[in-house]
Amino acid sequence: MNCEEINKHIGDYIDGELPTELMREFENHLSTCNKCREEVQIEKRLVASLKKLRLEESPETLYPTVLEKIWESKEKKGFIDKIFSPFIIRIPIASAGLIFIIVATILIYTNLSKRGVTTPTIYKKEIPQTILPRTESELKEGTTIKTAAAKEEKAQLSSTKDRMIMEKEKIETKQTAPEEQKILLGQKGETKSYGHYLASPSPIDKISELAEEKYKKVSEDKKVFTELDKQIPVTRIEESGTVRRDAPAMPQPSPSPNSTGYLGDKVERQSMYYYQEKTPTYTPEPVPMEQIQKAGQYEQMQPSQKVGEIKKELSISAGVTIAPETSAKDTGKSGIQKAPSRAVAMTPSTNIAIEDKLGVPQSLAYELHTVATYNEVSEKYILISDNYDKVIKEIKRVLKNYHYDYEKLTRKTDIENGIESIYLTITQDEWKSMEAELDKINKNKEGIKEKIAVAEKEKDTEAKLEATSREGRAVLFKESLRLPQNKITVVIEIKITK
Amino acid sequence: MISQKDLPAYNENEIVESLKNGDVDALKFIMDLYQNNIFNTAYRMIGSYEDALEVTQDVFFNLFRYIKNFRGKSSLLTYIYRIALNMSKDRIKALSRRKNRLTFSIDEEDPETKMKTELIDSNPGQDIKIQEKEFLNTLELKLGELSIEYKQVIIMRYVDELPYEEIADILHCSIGTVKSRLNRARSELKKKMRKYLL
Repeated sequence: MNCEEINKHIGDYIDGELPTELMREFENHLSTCNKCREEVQIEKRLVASLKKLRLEESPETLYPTVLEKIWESKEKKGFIDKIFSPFIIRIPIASAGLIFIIVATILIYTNLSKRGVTTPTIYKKEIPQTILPRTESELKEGTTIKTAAAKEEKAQLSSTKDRMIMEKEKIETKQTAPEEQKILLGQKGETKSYGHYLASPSPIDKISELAEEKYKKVSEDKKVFTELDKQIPVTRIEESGTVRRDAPAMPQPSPSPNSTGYLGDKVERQSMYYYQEKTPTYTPEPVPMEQIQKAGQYEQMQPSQKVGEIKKELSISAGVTIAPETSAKDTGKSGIQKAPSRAVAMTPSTNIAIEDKLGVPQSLAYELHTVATYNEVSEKYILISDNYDKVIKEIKRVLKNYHYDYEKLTRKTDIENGIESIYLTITQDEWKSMEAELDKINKNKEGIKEKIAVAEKEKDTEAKLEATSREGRAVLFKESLRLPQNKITVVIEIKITK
Repeated sequence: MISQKDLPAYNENEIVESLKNGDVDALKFIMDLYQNNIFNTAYRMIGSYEDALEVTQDVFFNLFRYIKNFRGKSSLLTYIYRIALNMSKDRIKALSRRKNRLTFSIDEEDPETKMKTELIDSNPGQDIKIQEKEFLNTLELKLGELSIEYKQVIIMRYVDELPYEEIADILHCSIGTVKSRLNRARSELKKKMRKYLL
């Protein structure tokens, strides 16, 4: 073997893949040729060094971040897009499909109403008068209502998001069992099948069990919510527009004369929407319309409110996002709205999958929208708590992170559609300063993680929340997530002007 | 960390089917197996920790999103690597368009280097370790200077320790081509590193 051939086989030699005969020849040549020997040594050192370049671990946040991306992408993908994406000729088919759906819906509704057939129903508690708009001047533009078909999809998305939140939480709390993880990955030299992996108990189930045990002791909060459930009568509004009451109307709590109506006020606490999906345990019989009218509640409503009630219900079932446009005219300053003295209010949320997963059918779920002018950028926070004051405190904290005052939250009421939403406008400059702040925060993530760890160690929930929210990510009430009892869920969506 | 050789056997068809059905557990299973490899590859290709992290996320996101396009002609690992290489290349191009440096200098402080420094500082025999660290930094730098074609083959073979067959499959070429390309890549890197290796 000559030097040229040595050069040709050097790779296989280093890999130990040379056939025995060639290997012998190779080594014979090396023993006689200093130059080749040196080359081989250098190459060996090079390859050994390259192997050292391997990083030990990739960040453990990878999986939850990917889940988050998946969830976000699914959420962005419209229902219509999903249906018609396999087709090449999109517009004509989509148009035809839309027309068909609209016509079919009208026909079905007309027929069902005539025959008195009950259409799928969503049950919800009474929406007290205190939260409904007081003046006609609050009737503003800009409400969008999606089709009812998005509901199912939303539930699916919530499930993915739910999983994402769980995963994030798992990382934060470090409660995954390391032994189980090892089994999932397989020991060295041991073969594990995917089937085995699937059969392994889920760490999430374990967390739920632990949580249930932990919070069996928490009974006082349960009582509060049970009492609250009893107080608020249930009204059923069918998609056909029929309003049915299933229990006699209870006297509504009259608003305190001193009440400003801001969140945190006890009156507002009782006047918030109670929303739940159909539960397996409670299926009341329909009550005739006449009976409801006799009860007087419905009669007292203004005609526009009646329509609004129905539309609102439809919008709830569609998982609607209300995004009223704000106007610079309101204040004279560009993009910033003047804060009214009126109350903020909550729109019902369809995001109740978390509670459902934890086996909480009687959950309270609220969605708080904060919407800005151009609807280009949005930040979404989910707050879950059994304590209303905690929610308010957290909203304030989140807004503070954005250098934004809680008092600047504004409310827009759409009387016709019976929808109220919370929004806040942020100018481009403000947004930039926030981004800079967030960048700074991101750079200091390690410090934050330490703070979280310390807070966890000291069981200081408040400190942990503060540290967590500083990350500029979803703020989670870790403890509350596991509470198997009634919860308040608030989603704050902040859309940023660009 | 699980090296390529230690990866457990699993029923690929079952995993792929689960992924196609949108099973996030299957995604977690795959990520547990391959995310370190993919992250390593992306990191060495791009030379930036943050960008590699983003690319790795995108790789698995796209895998999950477009798994329906996977027809099983190659192994899942090959498919994932192809996505990773393509996305890394795209990222390199995007970075070069922004006139960013693709390689990082010894002075540049990235999270990993920082971590290494901290580890080294707390250990005895500092001098040797610092020398090794500097050497590895130089190696990273010189590896970054190679063409994408050479860089990817070196990373797959020596950093990720993939077999030739797998590399050939990923790169859509023969094993012979992989070997000769690897030889050329190694010679080039050797030239750049010669004075440090003597």
